Amino acid sequence: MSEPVKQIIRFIFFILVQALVLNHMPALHRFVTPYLYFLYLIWLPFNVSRSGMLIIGFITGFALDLFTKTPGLHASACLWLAYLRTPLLKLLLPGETKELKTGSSPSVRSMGLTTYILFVVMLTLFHHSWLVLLEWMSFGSFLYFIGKVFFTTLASLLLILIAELLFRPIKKRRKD
Amino acid sequence: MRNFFLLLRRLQVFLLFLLLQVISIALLVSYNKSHQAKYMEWAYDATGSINKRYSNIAAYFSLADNNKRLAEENNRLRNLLAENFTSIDTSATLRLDTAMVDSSRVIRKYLWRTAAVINNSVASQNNFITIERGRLQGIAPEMAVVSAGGIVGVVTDVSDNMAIVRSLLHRKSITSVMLKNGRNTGLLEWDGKNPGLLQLKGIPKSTALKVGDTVLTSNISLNYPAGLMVGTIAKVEKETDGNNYKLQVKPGNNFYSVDYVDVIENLFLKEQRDIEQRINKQQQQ
Repeated sequence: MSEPVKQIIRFIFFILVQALVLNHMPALHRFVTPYLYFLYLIWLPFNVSRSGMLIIGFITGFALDLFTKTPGLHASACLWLAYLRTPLLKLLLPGETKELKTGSSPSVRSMGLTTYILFVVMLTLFHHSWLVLLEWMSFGSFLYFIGKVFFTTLASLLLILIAELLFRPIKKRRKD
Repeated sequence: MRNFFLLLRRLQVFLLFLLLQVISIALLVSYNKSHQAKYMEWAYDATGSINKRYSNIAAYFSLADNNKRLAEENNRLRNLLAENFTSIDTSATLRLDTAMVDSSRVIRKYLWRTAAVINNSVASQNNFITIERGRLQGIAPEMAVVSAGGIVGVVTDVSDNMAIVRSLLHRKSITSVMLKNGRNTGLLEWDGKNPGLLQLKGIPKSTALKVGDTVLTSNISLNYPAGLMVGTIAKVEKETDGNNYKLQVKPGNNFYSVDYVDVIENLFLKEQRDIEQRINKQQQQ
């Protein structure tokens, strides 16, 4: 399968799973809302240009917004993720500019375990902080904000771990 | 000038980011103000058809629950049939046809239409329900929505075949309600925290009430007919300042599983609005 077709199928899959399954989960607690769709942006290949990244991020967020009826909310959070992704990659993989121009995508295999975990955790945290900040802007309590960011991030990381184990088994691990 | 263009070129990614970010926030803010936008109407139809397919499958899993709820509601309605009541004077049994025949010059004020729920949320601060009935089927904004258990919300936006309902679990939702005992009216709101508890304000501390009392829709509500089930009082708190109770109300409707609802149109809504506006204008002059 060619790369664009693969990416489009993956896009549809992530948006549908988020809109039809995860958004319908009975709430465990008001702090926990499971989000997974932004993993699509994390898994995009290294060589997507920065402006391309921004446009894809905007479209991904807006596609979900159409389902949740919050036009602009997820789009705005995804834009942050898309904007910070490339600088973060450069920061985490110094001196590997050649690899960043290839078509492979961020994974345990291409980045090493610790670097990849750091990469995913930071992007997830950025995304969720902005999302929750916007959602609760007019809502007061700071503890509420921090609590929701923390637990929602935790829930997302758990889902990402499951997705990693399901779809991208680790064959050969790069030395840290 | 050349330097300026070079600067633009260097900053193009940042500028694109800024532009898209401003667009998103502007969309969000403007939509939060009115909950109406032309492009979202198209989105309701598009996402609605996907949601409908999904809920067709999901509906099978709640068939047993639905059956039970419908049986209960049938039971309640049968109990209301006129045949169950006789006048005390046994020489003259009152027999009424329960069909709505317009023989006694009764004018219909409320029109009920059923609708299937195809999307529902409880997890966010501002929750909406999508129902599969729209402008072409006679739905318009401001119509009230109720289910077997109690009131659900108010229609805010319609497209051709879908309508969006602002659920009671919405921070801007305000409903005029009254206590069944004593008929004191107050305002029902939601603080956005627990989907199982709504807040009732404006009931004076002098009112006699206890936990478990029934809350109904009030007779001064524009959208809802009077006397529909809203919920029961779950907890009584007193405001530290001020003269009123702050009551926690457990909604009668289970917001986690709404499958079928009734949409109620107040046929007098426009007339009432018009006459009230006229009086307001006269007052100002």
